[in-house]
Amino acid sequence: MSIVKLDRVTGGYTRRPVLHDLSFEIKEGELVGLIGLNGAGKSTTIKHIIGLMSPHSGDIQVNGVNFQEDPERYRQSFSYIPETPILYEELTLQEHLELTAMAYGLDQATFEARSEVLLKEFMMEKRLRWFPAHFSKGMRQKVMIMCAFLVNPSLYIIDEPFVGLDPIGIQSLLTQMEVRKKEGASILMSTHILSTAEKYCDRIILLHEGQVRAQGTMDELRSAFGKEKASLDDLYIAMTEDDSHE
Amino acid sequence: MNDLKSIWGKRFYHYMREVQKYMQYIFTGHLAIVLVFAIGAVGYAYSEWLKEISTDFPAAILAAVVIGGALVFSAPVTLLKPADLVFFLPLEKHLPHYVKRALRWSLFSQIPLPIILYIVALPLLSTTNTASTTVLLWLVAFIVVLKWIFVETEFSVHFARSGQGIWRDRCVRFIIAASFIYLWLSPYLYFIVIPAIVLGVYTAYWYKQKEQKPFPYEHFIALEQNRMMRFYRFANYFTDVPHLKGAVSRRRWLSFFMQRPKFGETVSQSFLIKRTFIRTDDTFWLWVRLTVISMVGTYFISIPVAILILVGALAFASSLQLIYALRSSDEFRMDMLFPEPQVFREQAIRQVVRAVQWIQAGLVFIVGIIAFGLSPTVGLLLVVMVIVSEITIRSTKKK
Repeated sequence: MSIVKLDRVTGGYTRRPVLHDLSFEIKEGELVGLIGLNGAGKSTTIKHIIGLMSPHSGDIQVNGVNFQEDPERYRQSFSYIPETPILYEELTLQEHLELTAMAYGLDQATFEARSEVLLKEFMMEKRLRWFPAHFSKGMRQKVMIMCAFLVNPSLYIIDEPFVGLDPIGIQSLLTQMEVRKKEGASILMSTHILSTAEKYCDRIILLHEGQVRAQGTMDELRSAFGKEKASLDDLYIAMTEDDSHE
Repeated sequence: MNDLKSIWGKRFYHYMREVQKYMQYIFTGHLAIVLVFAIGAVGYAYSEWLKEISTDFPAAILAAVVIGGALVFSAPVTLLKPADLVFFLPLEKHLPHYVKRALRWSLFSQIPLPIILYIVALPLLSTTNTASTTVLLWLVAFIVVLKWIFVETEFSVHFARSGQGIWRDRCVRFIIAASFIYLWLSPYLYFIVIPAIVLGVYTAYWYKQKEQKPFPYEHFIALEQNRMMRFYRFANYFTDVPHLKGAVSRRRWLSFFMQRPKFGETVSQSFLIKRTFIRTDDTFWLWVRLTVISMVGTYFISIPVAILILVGALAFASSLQLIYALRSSDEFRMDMLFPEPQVFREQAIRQVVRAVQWIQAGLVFIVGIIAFGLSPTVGLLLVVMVIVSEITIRSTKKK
């Protein structure tokens, strides 16, 4: 079953579109990597999926629901980790978790059980009463990650998750992603760390100039580019070279 | 050399455009109305007070303290930017050309406040026969000269000590300025030579201190950033300022106002907005300031109509500015993705503003009872504040 379905989506910030006829699906329990050069349209695609931007044309469905049909049900289905951590400077770590739990309708027992596991995993138990001003960039990112995983939705949308995280933080994030995937959640992850994407993603979507240049498993991408033993780095460079030859 | 001159010119042009952009929101908005009412009420009370004042009122001391206080705050406006730390380094020898223009602008931009206070003090000084017209005319020239020296001195202190001990310096200059103005207005006006000599020595000392140090780029850049941030925070009460980041404090002593989390209920926005109001320094202290002004005005102003206009205008300003501040900018916030209707945030903002405006009205009511006893006027104060706040809350449209 498709958790996310983009059908011929054209959209952008102004009348001039950034995304052109974009179509792809993410299935239940799938980890999909969204890969592309700077300005390829990765963040714009994500903004369209999370409902911060409306497509000029085409349709986006999450769990079979369109944003316009039922915004609350649409939003209930996913949590989002932005590239740059965006926290409330006036809330402590504990209050960020409590706010998220209240907004997504978690009961107290579930909140306490989930937050305990996450705080331990990301080694933040002793910083519950801290304000974001005292956090490093990596810690701020951990707060965003914990809030997203606290909700336990059917879809995670993660934009450049590894920036600023220390190696243990990256490992904890990957562990959490694996666990959630096994439980049936889908993950859309935009990243430039291609070796990690190649290792962990079930499928890759190569985005170029607002269009899907190629998509599929690593083997499918290799055949599409006619490079049998290529790594994702090789395919990425091949995609940009193709473009410069055009 | 010419490069830094033209850099100052370009920066100044962009700075003025930036300031004008926000000023038009500030002065075409509700502040103009509040200012008209507040100045009207205070001006009326002042003129009534002058009618009753005795000639032995210590007007010279009051004028010296107030104008002296306004003169000492002479922070340099340098328009320096973080990148200057790198790009201005090779031009350091030519920096005085840039600084000269910066200090000239600092003087021009800061001189209006002491001059306005001087103009306000004139009727008081004449009514009490404190000084002759010639003496009063000379005073304005002294104010300009003192301000010019203070701008130079404060710049030297920042330069020599990276701002350390700036309050000590301001205290010293306040004593010099206040005694200078007081002596000039007193019968012993030739004694101004004493503070003048002290000021000369003091200024020369800091000038020499400055000469021994390299230009502290980081300190002046931080000073400039803080200054602009203060302006943006003020402008944010009237319009959206996108790049604004306000300071926050825990304020544990007000924790009983911050509701505990209620799981399973849709109260996340109220949980958030209460904390935003109490912990964001700008918003919280803005409300405290306006509440204290209302309370002080109620206690000291003896004309009921003037009090009603003042507290009504301040209740309007307070509720309107709180709504704007709590709505915050259109930048992305995580609660934009919460699975709850958008209207919840607006409802939570109105509830919180209504609650704090009731508290404001209650405090003014208590002060009213202390000042006038239980009278219909005091009851009317409460009614006016609550009604003005409620109408403002209901009628404030989105920016």
